[in-house]
Amino acid sequence: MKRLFGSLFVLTFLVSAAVAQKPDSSKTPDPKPVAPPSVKLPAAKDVVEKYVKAIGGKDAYLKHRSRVESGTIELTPMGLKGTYENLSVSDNRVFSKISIDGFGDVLNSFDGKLGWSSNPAQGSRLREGKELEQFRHQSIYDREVNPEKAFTSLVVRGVENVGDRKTYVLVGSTSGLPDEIIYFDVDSGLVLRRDNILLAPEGQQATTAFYEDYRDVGGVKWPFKTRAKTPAFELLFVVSEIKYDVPVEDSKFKRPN
Amino acid sequence: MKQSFSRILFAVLALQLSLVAAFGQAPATAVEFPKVRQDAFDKVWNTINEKHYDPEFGGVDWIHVRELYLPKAKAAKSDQEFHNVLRQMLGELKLSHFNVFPPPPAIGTENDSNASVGVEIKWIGNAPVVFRVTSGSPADTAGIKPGFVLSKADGKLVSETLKPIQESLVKRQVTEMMRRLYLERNAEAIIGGRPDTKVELEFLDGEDKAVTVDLNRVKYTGEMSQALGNFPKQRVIFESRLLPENIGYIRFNMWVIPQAAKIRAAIREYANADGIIIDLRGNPGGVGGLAGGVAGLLSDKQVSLGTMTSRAGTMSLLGYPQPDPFLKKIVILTDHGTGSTSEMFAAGIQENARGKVIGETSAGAILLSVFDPLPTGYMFQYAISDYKSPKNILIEGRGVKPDREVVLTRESLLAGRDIQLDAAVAEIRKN
Repeated sequence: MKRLFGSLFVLTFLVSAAVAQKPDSSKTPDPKPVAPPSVKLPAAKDVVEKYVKAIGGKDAYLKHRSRVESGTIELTPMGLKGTYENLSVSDNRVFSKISIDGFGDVLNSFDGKLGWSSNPAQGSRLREGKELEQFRHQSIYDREVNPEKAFTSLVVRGVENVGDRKTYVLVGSTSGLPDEIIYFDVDSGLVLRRDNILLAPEGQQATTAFYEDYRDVGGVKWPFKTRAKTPAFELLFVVSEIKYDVPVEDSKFKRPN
Repeated sequence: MKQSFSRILFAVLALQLSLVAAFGQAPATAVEFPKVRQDAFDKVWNTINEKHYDPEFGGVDWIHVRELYLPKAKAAKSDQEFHNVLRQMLGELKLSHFNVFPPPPAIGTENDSNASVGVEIKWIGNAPVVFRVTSGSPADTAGIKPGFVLSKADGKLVSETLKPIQESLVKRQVTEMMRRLYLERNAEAIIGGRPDTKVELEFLDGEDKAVTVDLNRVKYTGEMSQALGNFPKQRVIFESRLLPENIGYIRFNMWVIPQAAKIRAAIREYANADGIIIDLRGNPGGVGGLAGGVAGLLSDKQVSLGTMTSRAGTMSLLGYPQPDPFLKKIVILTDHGTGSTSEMFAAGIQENARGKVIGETSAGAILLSVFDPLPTGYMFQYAISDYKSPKNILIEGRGVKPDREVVLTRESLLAGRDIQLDAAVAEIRKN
């Protein structure tokens, strides 16, 4: 899901000539100061273990070799609506198609080495540099259950509420990329929020995503509703279907002319 | 362009201006203030307060503006009056891209009341002059020619009809480009109307003799774009041809999605031409990202068309090089009706030294905006970021200055010449 945010926030800018975020920072801005915990903080690996267990366990996750998620999106305040399809393959290839009413198809792909994006306004382009590196990180198929593949360090920073839920705040770092801040529900173990800075040639874009409505699909729990926010825009993703082990066409990953 | 949404946009703006005096004397008597209006007022004021790209509001005391306009909004006796108050309140910012529009289908739809007799007006000197006549239109059939001056509509002097607007424009100290734009859009609004109705028009011909014609207003039946979220459907008017000098000529009314494929195809078609002229005169803008897409067809390297800064930061508008770009000469034609995305494109091409801009200074109306519905059903447009050209020049209120200024004249139109296009051709033919 995170992979979709970048292209959509750029899209909001394209269709409305919109807004960018935090251009000069290479680090994710700190969330609100985390209050000193009254109890000893758990180790990051324990928080992650609880999360992996909460979503169904590593085996349940890894037994599927591919996954395609489809659903609807809405972008406010512009009133844009559409559908999306997000394919992830266990060899870290990804492909997404976001179809915006009145705009057309926004395509994104990563074949393990090359990443590209395409939309009706700008045509197609290759991802390069840090943007490509971030996209590669976000394309790691098992990053949810093997976070060490995505982060060189993952530390617990404190406790903070997300809505009325108490969460452990973890900071995931990777050399050369912005930190990712992840909020794990203390009780359920599920991820309720992520803060990130998405890198794009147009500028850096701080996003906050909130995850809701976790449902079990084939032994793994997925959030069926995601709200992603910037100060000016809000995106709502609602999953309609998740399928595993779908046929994967290699042609999807070829850059269009 | 001249039809549909942008024309109505300017007509509504002018209506707002013409009503300033009346609303300045709005009665202070207490009347019931419907909740839906209170909510709409709050949404407009709060949105500007929270999202205006300039937290200082360009020096306008936004708190005071609320105190000033809330009583007027409460005193409004009709929805129309109420929304005019909102427009006046937004007008205090003295910027483009802040407005309130009536709900569809009143504007920008196939069923709108903006049927046309087939003339496009430019404000030249101090008069509404016919710039283009649509081939086969009622005006064409009646013998109306470019260079004719529109003098009367249904027996009323156009100059008299436009007088309140003229006065309001002087009072508001709008730029000369915007003054001309408002006036010509309103002249067109005067002669436009519902489909299959008639309007009696008097023109002054090349010898200043009055020519009176009774013309039928014809509904637009051409291509429309899809609505893009809250951005309404727009007419899609596109023209391209190879000029005898082996120069491609491309003109389109607005930057909307269906134009992307047409522009791309035309640029590919003119791959062997000596140059391409992109005529953005009267093009008020549209979807910002398309400018980068077209720039990518004209360059073999990534180009920046400028930056946009909001309260949250700065973002670049980029053109990514596309396969087999056209790398020969480019000339952009501009005038005071060249606005927003068109200005972004013109400034980007000019300042990246990828082509020349010829014609007149553009509108200077470029802020990056979104459309958001109000509880009343009206559409609220507000800017969320400014725009600066690649050389960091703020274009709002200034416009893009042409590399070579060529001012359209009535005499040249009467002679059947488009001297701005002629200058563009000469620029490309120049060694």
